[in-house]
Formats: sequence, C-alpha cells, structure tokens
Amino acid sequence: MGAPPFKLVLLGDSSVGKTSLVHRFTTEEFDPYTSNTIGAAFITKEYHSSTNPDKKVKFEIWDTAGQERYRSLTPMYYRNAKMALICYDLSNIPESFEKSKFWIDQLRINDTSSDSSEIKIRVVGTKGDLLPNKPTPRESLEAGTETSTEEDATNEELDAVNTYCLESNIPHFITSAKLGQGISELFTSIIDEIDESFWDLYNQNQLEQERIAKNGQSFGTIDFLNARFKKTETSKSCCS
Amino acid sequence: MEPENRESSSDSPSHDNEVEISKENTKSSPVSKVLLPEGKKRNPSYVGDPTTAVDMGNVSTMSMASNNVSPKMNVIPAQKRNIPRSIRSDQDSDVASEFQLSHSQNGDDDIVNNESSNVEENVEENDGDDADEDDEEDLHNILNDLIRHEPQALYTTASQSLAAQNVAPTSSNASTILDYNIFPYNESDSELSENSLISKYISVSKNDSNSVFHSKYKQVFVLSSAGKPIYSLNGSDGVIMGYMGLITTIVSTFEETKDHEEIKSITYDDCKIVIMNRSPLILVAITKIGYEKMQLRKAADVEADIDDQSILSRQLDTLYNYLLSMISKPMITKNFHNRMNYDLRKILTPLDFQNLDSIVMKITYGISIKEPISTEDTRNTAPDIGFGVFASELLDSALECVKLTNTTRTKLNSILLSSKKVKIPKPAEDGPSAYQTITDSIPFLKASAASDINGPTSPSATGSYGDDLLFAILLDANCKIMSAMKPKHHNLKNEDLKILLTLISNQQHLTRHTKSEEGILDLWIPICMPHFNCNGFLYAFVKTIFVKPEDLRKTSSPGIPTTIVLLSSSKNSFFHMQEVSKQIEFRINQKMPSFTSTLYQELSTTTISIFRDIHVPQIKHFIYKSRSSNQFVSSDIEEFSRGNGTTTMNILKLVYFYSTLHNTRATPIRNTDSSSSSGGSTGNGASNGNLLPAKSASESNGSSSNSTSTGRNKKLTYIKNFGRNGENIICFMLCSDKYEFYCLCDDRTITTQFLINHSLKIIKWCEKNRKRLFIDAGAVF
Repeated sequence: MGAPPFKLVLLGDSSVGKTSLVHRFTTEEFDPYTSNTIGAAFITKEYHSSTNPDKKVKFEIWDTAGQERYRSLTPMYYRNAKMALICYDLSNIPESFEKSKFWIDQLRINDTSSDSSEIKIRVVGTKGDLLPNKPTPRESLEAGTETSTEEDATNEELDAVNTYCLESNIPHFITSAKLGQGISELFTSIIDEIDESFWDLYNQNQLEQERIAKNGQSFGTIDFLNARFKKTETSKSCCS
Repeated sequence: MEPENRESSSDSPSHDNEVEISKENTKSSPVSKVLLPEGKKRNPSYVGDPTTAVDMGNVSTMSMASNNVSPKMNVIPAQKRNIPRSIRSDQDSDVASEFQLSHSQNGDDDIVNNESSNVEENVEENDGDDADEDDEEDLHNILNDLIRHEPQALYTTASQSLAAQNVAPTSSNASTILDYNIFPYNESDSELSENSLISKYISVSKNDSNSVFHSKYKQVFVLSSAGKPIYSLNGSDGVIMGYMGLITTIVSTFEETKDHEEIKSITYDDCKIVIMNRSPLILVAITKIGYEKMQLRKAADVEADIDDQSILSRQLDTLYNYLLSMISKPMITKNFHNRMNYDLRKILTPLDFQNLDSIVMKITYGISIKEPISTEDTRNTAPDIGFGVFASELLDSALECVKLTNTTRTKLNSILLSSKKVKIPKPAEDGPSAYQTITDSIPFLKASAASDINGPTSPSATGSYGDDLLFAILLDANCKIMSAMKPKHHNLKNEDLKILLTLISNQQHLTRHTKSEEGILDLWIPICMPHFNCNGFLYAFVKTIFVKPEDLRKTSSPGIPTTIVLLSSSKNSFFHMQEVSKQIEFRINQKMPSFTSTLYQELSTTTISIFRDIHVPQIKHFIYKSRSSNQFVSSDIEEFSRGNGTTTMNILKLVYFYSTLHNTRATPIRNTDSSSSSGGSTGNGASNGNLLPAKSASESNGSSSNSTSTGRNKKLTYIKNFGRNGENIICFMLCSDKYEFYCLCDDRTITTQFLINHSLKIIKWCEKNRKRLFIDAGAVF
C-alpha cells in the first residue's frame, strides 16, 4: 500500500528561496538560476523518517509564488494543508521575516474556521550559506540555541526571530538549499511529529476503498462532493 | 532622439535629415486628406508619397519615381472608412487582364544598389484541375518577365562587385553576420568575431554604461504615462531615465495639440522610433535594423482599412499583450487610477522582465541570447525555439504545429475529449477528508481502476473532472502544438496562445527536470487571455510527461517530453485538472502500447527535411503558411546551416531574408505605395542605406535586387541577395488565397523554371500532407 498523502504548503516573500528548498528536497540538486514561480507549482515526493522507515508519507507540496500579485490565490493552497513552511531569507532577515509574520497571522486567522485539522507551522530560514558564519547543519527545534560567535547584527536579528518563534510556539529551522543543509532534518522532523494514528486512518480508508472498488458500488454519501462541484460550477461565470 | 527634430515634421520638403513622422489624427474627421476620384486616372497615392503610382482600374500605368527623395510626412487620417471603395475593392477586381507596372528608383546617386521593380499582373487562370500545369507555365513566364524588367545594370554591377571582391576579398572569408549587410556596422567591426559582434550589438545588457547602451541595434521601453520606467531591454535605470522624460514630453506635446493627435513613429537618421500609447502605459521601440524599418501591409489590413502597421508596432503589441496576460487590464487600470505615479514594477517579478527580454530577442532576431552570466549558463544561449517565435510574429501570429500522421493526431484529439469526460467516481465515505481521498485514491496506473472509471458510474449525480476545462493543448518538446481541444463556441486567439506558449517554454526547465515519478512538478499558472476575456483570469495546468513505449521502459532513456496544458476557468480546479492530466497520460503511455510506440516514433522525427521528404535539394529552407488555418510549417534549420557557420548566425540570416521577403512582397492595390516605399526601404535598408554610406557602395558586399509580381490568384516575389563571399541567396515567395510560401535557394545558377517547379513541388507536398502538417479544428466539445 502506498504512503498516505501529507499536504504541505510553502509560504513567504518573493525570492526567499522556496522553490530552491523544494527543488533540493525533491531532486537533491541546486540550480542557481531558479526563476520566479508563476502562480504555484505542485510537487509530490515520498519520504520516510530516517529513524523509522515505516513512517512513510507522500508529501504533496504546494510551492507558491511569493509575489504580491498572486496573494489572492494563496488561501486555496493552504486550505486542507496539514503543514505550512513559512520561509524567510537569512541574508535579509528584518524585511523577509516581517512578511513571515504576515503569513503566520493569515494562517491563524483563517485557521479558526476549520475544526480539528489546524495547520501546523514551521518557520524556515533559507540561504543559510549566506550567514556570516556557516550554520552547523543542526536543527534548532523548539529552543533554537544559536552560537554566540556570530556577527552581532545578524545575531540580534536571529535572536529576534528565535524569540518570536518561542513565544508563538513555532519550531524554527535554518537551511541552505545550496549546501543541502538542514533540509532532510526539517522534513524528518515533520514526519516524526506525525501521530501514528495518521497511518492507521489511512490504511483503514484504503481498505474501504478496495471494498468499494470490488463491489462496484459506493455507499457513502456524495453530498459533500456535490456541494463542492456546485461551487466550482458557479465560479465558472468568468469565462462566459 | 533629439526633440527638435519633431519640429521638422512640417510639409516643407527641404531638410537635411530625412525626417518622417506619421501621426494619427485621433479626432474622427469625416474627410480623408486626399480623396481619390472613382475614375481611372493615375493619382498621387493618398498618403502623398511621391514615389508611387496607384492604379484604380484596368488602365496600365508606369511611373518613374522622382529621383529626389524628399523628406516626407505621412499624415494618415484616422477614419479610413471614408476612403473610396475603389481602393479597397481593387483586390477583387474582376477585370480580366490588368497590367500594372511601377518602377521606382530611389535616387541617392547610387543606382547600383537601389533597383527595385514591381510588376503587378493579373493572369487569367483556369479554375479546373489542369490549372496546376498552367500555373507553372504562367508563373515561369511572369518570373522571367519580371527579371527581364530589371535593369541590366544591376547584374553587371553586381557581378562587378563580386568580381572585385574575388580579386580583393575582404578581411575574412568565413561568413559572418555582417554578410548581406543585415546589420549596420562600422568598418572596424569586420575584425570582430561573431560572438563579440553579437554581444556588442545584439545581446541584452542592463549595463550602466552609456556606450554599451547606445551600441545596441534595438531598444524597447515600457513606461508609465507619468514617465516612470517599467521595462527597458537595455541599460540600467540611470542610463534610460533621461529618455523616459523625453518620451513623455514628445507624447504629451502631440496630445496637447488642438486635434489631440497621437504620435506614432519617427524616422530619424538611421533610427526608426515607434511609439504606442496605451494609457496608462507607453511602449516604445527603437531600431537601427534595416529589415525592421520596413512598413508592413497585410492584405487583411487593406480590406479592413486598418492603418498600416510597422513591424515594430506589432512587436509592441505583443509585449503589451504579455503584460495584459500576466497582470490583466483591470489591475493595471486600477493601480494607476489610484495614483498616476504608481510603480508597476512592484507587481512584476524578475521573471516577467526575463520573459519580456526573451520575447523581444526572439521576435527581433529569432534567437534568445542574453549577456552570458557565466559559462555554466548555457541554458539561455541555446537558440531553441526562437526562430519559430519570430516566424509566427512575422506571419501574423500564425501557429506552428508538429508534423504527425492524421491517425495519430485524431487519436490524440480523442484522448483529450475522452479525458475531459471522465466522471468523478462516487466517494467512499463522507467526511472532511473525502474530497482529498478521492482525488488521491485513483491509481491511474491500474488499468482496472481506469476501466472502472469509464464503467458503470451513473452520470446523473456526479460531474466530470473536466467540467471546468476549457482548452486543452498537447505540446511537443519544442512547444509546438500537437493537438488541441476547445469548446464549440469559444476560440483562443493565436496572440493569446503565443504568450502562453512563450511562458511555458520559458518554464520548461522546471517541469522537464525530473526524471522519475517522484518529484513530478505540476504548474498552476493564472493567466489572463486578453483576447478571450480581458477582465478575468484563466488557470493553466501545465505538466510535462514523457512518451515512452514499453520496450524502452526498462532502459534509462527518458522518453520524449510532451507537455499537457489544461486551461480551466476555476482557480479551485487544480486537482480536477491533475486528474484529467493523469487520464491523458494514461491513455498516451499505457492504454495502447502500439499507439505509444507509434507516437514515440513520430515524435522522434518531427522536423521537415526538404532533402528527405521532398527531394528538392536546391531549396535550402522554406516556410509554408496555410491561410485558412493561420498555421505554418518550416523546414529544418539544420539543413540551411549545415556546414555553413553556427546556428545562431544562420538564424540571423534567415530572419533577415524572410523579413525582407515578407515585407516587400506583392500585396493587393494599396501596396502600390507600400511596395514602392518598402522597395525604397529595401533599397535603402538591405542594399546600402544605413548599412554603408552611399559613397562606399562600390565596396559594398551586399546588394539585392527585388521584384514582385501579382497575379490574380497567385503573387510572386523574387529577391536576389549578394553575399560578401560570392555566395548568393535567392529568396522567392509565392502566395495565393490558400497559402503563403517562402523559400530560400543558394544555387546561383538555378533557372527560373526550376525555381518555380521546385517551389510548386514543395507546395504540392504541403497540400498533400495538409492533414499531417496542420491541425484542422482540433477536438471540439
């Protein structure tokens, strides 16, 4: 049986390196000429925890455009998402982290609507290779302890980020897509945090699906879907 | 660009610089400036061009152009509707035999390179089946006539110059982009290598240096009406800022006149400047390239009485379309409505500027060269599909399709149709995650599941995945169209499609990167199709799949990339489109192994080889455009460039030859002034003007003779180009109501009979293979 899908969305200001991060994660490569994303890109990748190969998920990643003109579309991407990676640029902390706060607020506002499945948030610093001192590829989960040998300015800025994350109880990661640092740690930690029940539920669902496929008939209600399609039908009006 | 030259646009004919300003009177004046009487008298053309003859009826005329090219000002009345019908309808004139010849000669005391003759002749042709043979005979006669009409002097001098050249060859024998005097250059440049020439004059450079900026042949600006720079092909903000102010001043000066005139173009010295005012945006193109300075007049324009367009204004249209596609007209208007000094750059991304650069380079030169960032960056220097984009721009936004057998194409069409109609299976379970589970749980690779989908599901309750799907397009590796699907009552304009294809081709390194099922990337691009609906966005689902027949599946060969483009009307329909794309992929790659391998084979050789397919090796390259479908095919560029320099250089040559040919071609009636002015500009542009000063014409290595002829059903145009290495290229064009055919031949000794014969052979081949070369209506639902 395949791995259960796990929806993930990347948010953050334009040009902070969301696409490069995903690209490194999915292909193990780094392209210095990555161009801006138009709209969004959807990428899937199966991945398992390095500690426990049974904990395997199929990441379904929405790599969104950071550019402001696409902002109205983003709710569609984080709807149904289980996790949001909010990226900021370590070489330009003050400005890009300000935008990150915007996204964190956005998620919190929108999240109250849906019930149990709240979106978990990770704050991810990108372009770690551009930090004055190269970060050790070590996650700073929860407590984000930073070495004190850094240059003062960056240090202070990073401290501010850390404080903010601590206060809001959001894990904070430092990555470099160029050097391939911190990325597997990030995704492993995401998997590690997923509850076992997630897989149990998925397997149950799969069995149910099979049963239906065999019977050739479905028993579940379709009201939910109908409602959804009615919605999309009405929104077609723009092309008439 | 000095503003004072604007002033010289008066009617007074004596100025040192040739200043030509055409402007449009935006006020709807009910009287056109020059009225043409209905009679059959010879008239000065209504635009007041002294070098032309207009013939209204069946009286034959011949006019020698004045030897003095005086500065001229073309004031084109806005209301073309008022021009007497006789001008417009002349094309359909049913006068049996009409002979019209105008011979224009531009008189920069340089007779050698300034010859151009136009013959317009109507030939009665049989409409029956035996027309083909008669055709050949007739066309042959016309062409012979045409060439005979050319002053003998041309040949003598041309061969003299060739002879002189053989005695004292110029610096190098290797062919360069300076061959045929395609571009203006300084004598000192002949020492430069091809690459340094390209990077000096052609490559995009956002450099701070003024001298780098000024050496470029081409400039393009987009600015706001308030004068804020938005886009510039070359130069940094510091370099261009002053010009922005100048442009807004010029534009607003014209606007403030009592007639609210609008400035359209300025010809000054060796530059042509075209301004397009699309308030709140102003687009400006400036060129020093001869072939871009020509006027362009399409038959359709003559019929519709649209103002004649320059190539540059069409290019600006394309750029404007790009901006509309990306940010839509309402958004532009809204932003500027709030504040006149709004900075549109805020909502544009670096990618947009990159795309604009790439579009300009492709439609100007047919190549996509940027200033190389590093040697690693080979991706951008590949000439890739540049020539196709150029040809499409030249041929009135015609589309280029992939050569496929009719069976395969029909099959692909039906795949698109049936994939759209796949029903959504009923959900297994209700609950918040049901939607998600369903879209994810259809393993398209399992044939059983797929047949289940097509199976007994009741159509009543559930919809189809493709309900929101409006247009579907399959593209081959070079972003040419393989197959397309559209709704019955809607069409996608080629102009819009062109932007979409450019966008996708520029994103291809993303989608095509991944090799395995893992990490597959689907793009979801909001795009406004301004000709479809300028107020809303469509959403393009883009995914690249790899056609890979079964026997290749075990090998490491990646297969042939094919891109699926699905345009949806709903921004929430991504997962449905994804499902449709999976269905398409399944049907292409899995369902019928025999089809997969047929498709694979056909996609392996999509280029049209004159040598292999048509067997007329004297013709080096051709373009055939089907008028009814507005689609074109062109032969393999490799065959033209084989053993003859780099691809880049040969593309530059092709661009030059086809531009010249296309822009000097014979067109119905109103072209009498166009042909003489374009003949003039050919004389000027291609032969000597701007390229070399007239005095040094005897040393000129390029010269051209140019003839056009019009028959009632077929029109032909013939140009001979003399290269600096004694190499000759003959450009020949033949067109009828059904097609436009352009070809290049490098065989100097080819007889007119052979040229006609071979051209007709290619045309027949194209007509015979019409279904392979063009998409009819595509799939329609």
